[in-house]
Amino acid sequence: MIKKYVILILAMIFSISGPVLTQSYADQEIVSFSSSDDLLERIKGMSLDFLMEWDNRVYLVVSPQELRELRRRRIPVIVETALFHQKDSERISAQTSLNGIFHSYKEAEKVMMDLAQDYPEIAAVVDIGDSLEGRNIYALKISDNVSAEENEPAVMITGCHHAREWISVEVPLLFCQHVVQNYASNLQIRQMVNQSEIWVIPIVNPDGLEYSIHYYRYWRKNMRNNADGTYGVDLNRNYGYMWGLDDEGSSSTTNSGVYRGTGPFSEPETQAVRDLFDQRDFQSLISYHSHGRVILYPWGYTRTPSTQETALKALGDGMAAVIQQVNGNTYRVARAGAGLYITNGDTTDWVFGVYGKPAYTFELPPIDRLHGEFYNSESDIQPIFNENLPALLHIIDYSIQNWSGDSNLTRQGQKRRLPKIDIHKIPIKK
Amino acid sequence: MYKHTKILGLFFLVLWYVLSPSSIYGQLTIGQYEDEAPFRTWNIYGTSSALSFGMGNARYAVPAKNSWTANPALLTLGPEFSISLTGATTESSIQKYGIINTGVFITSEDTISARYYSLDSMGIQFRYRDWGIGFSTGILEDYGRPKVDYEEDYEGIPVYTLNFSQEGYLRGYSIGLSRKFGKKISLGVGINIVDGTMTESFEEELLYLQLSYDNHKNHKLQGLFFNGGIHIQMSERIAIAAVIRTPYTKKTASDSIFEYNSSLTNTNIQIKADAENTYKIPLLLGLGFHFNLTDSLRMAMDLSYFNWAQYKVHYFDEDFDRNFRNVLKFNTGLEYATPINLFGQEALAPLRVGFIYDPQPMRFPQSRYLYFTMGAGLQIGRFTLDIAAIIGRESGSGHGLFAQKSLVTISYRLDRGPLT
Repeated sequence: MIKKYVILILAMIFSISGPVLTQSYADQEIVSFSSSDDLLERIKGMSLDFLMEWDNRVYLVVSPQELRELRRRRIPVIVETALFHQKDSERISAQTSLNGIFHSYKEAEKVMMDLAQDYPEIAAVVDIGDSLEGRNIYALKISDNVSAEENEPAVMITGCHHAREWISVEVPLLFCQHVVQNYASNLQIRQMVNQSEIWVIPIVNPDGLEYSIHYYRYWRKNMRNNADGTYGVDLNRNYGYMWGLDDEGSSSTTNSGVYRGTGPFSEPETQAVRDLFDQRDFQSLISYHSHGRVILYPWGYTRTPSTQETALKALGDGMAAVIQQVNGNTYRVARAGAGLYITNGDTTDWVFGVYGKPAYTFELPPIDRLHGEFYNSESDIQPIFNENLPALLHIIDYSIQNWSGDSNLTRQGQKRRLPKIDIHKIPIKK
Repeated sequence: MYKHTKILGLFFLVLWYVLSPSSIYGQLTIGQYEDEAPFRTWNIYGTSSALSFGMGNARYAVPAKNSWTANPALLTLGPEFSISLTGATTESSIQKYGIINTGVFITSEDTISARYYSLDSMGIQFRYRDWGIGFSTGILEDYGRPKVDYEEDYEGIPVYTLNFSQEGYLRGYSIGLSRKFGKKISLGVGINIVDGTMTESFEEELLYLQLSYDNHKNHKLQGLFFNGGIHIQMSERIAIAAVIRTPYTKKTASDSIFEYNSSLTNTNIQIKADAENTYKIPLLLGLGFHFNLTDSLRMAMDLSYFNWAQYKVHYFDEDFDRNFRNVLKFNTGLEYATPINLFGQEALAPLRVGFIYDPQPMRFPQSRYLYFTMGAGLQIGRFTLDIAAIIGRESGSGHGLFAQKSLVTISYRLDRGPLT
């Protein structure tokens, strides 16, 4: 027993040792599987980096290729990297930003501006509205001939409706970088970008994010002064479909964390999302949140399934499956109202209810409150993005494949036109 | 001489005490979240004394105790040697700071009052023929806030706690040198070093889940600036003065940590940062007037232009626009002084009143304090005791904030100069 503890401690030390080691293992994962004779037999012939044996499980450090090979040999591995990451925050040297390598509003703004500047043919920053405190709400449009009006299906990806969910900024931002930087070299990405418009809004709630960084890490809502001493409207309860249906799915109490506001779309931040969605031919939406490792689909306002239950579930399952293929992590797929809790006025119900398009809330890791809650260690950002990337590509591909090709879409039976959005370069405020 | 040695010993004892400032709490910010905002007002320049505050803190052209820290030229107009010590209590109501009334915590009343006491400043000055030199130290700015210690119980058992605190101060050291040219003109320059600390602490704990969320920030501040001034005795009764404080940078060596800790799952997540922050304090220009209306009655007036539009903050690797405007502060006061006979000794017992218009630099909401000041003094032989109180109310924010300050200054001069 003592030996096991010694091995475990050595393994921990190993996992948090210096930057050289960290770099050389940057792309690698720590995985485990049951140390049964049958499974050990199956890895024969593979040259694997043994880490330790603990509690009847074998722990290995594997490269992505080795991980694929393990799966090909039908070894039921569990990726345990996050288990070690949670202990290793010291491994990342101290940053100069309050929020470490997570992005503040200005840092995210700079990333988007830089992308638009470096890849002007396929990326453009669009100011889709102002927050309550006057910050620009930015969308990065990614498409071929980005400044042209093309008849293409669009996908919307949003992050940071809730201020404290910092990881929900990172995944959309990394996605922007990944897509534009791999456009030239990756055929799949190039085809997707050429055939669609990808609209990414990494920070829907910039005021709340800044308050979360500078004053109260667990701030959730926007910074609406409710004029009774309380602040904030829960932006993900402020959308117009089934808004305020009951006090279970949102609250009329201003100091509640799920206060829905004075009316549907009362907040400029949700208005900005609404106006953009209304102006383009969006086929689907992903709204990033944390935490839970769950993929939620409509309805949220009721426990009753929608008429599209099967299709929504299937698309959700498809995204969960491609996530699992990355590293074995499972994202539970559930109807929001039944699988998590009742919500009304949320983004996905609005997209599905008003436009009839599939929309998903991704509750990113950690899995529960006791394993980080709204905190993610900085070293978890990239792995979380890595596992979510295929799901994003999956839904974009779905949107392209299922697009009718008619830009004059019907909205609840009514024809609507697509007004032109001014795409312009916005100078970064110094 | 023995007596003088004792007095000097006492002076340095008190000096040591002043250099070890205690924690003091209180802050005013209006409609903004800034942590670096000084207590009561943004418009702070040099140290002062009860004499000056009694006259509305109009001091650019008035030789009085530590007023040379605002205009070094005044050093040639003071006594041959003097020391002074000023203590103060300051109280102010505040509305928004940190997490209070900005989202997390709502105060039961609209505003919170804070009061602190400090030995504000000490000064020593010499004059020899046409030259004057002075040294002063004092607390220039305070960054304290009222603390929050919140606890929720369930059936008598604490289940949730939240603690918030912010403390800090900026201390200044001034050395001034002045020379008189002819009988009317004095010029002076000053070198000023500032240092201080600021700590911000936030701790939240869910005891029933053994979860805690902490956020700590520490800042060590320092800076250097120069100032200068001119004093011109236009006539027997009228003097004018002009002052300048150079723009300067308050630098901080800062660190920060966010920490999540779950004892049940042994999960600890930390986000750390180290940074050098800068606060670019803008130029100040001032004009002062001093009129001896009669032998017993004098009047002083100051105008101060703070170039706050140039205020810049670089904080943990980001530039912040505080959206400040330039402001013009106005101070004025009267002093009526007549010799009296006190227990057979000749003494001077001046009475003072004053007014201060103190606009704050924030554009939204635009606000200003209006202060009334009053004071009195008693000079017997080499000793002088001055007291002053200022009472003000703010308008513009909608909260009607009040502020007050009481000061006591004790001073001693070696030469038996005229009662002035």
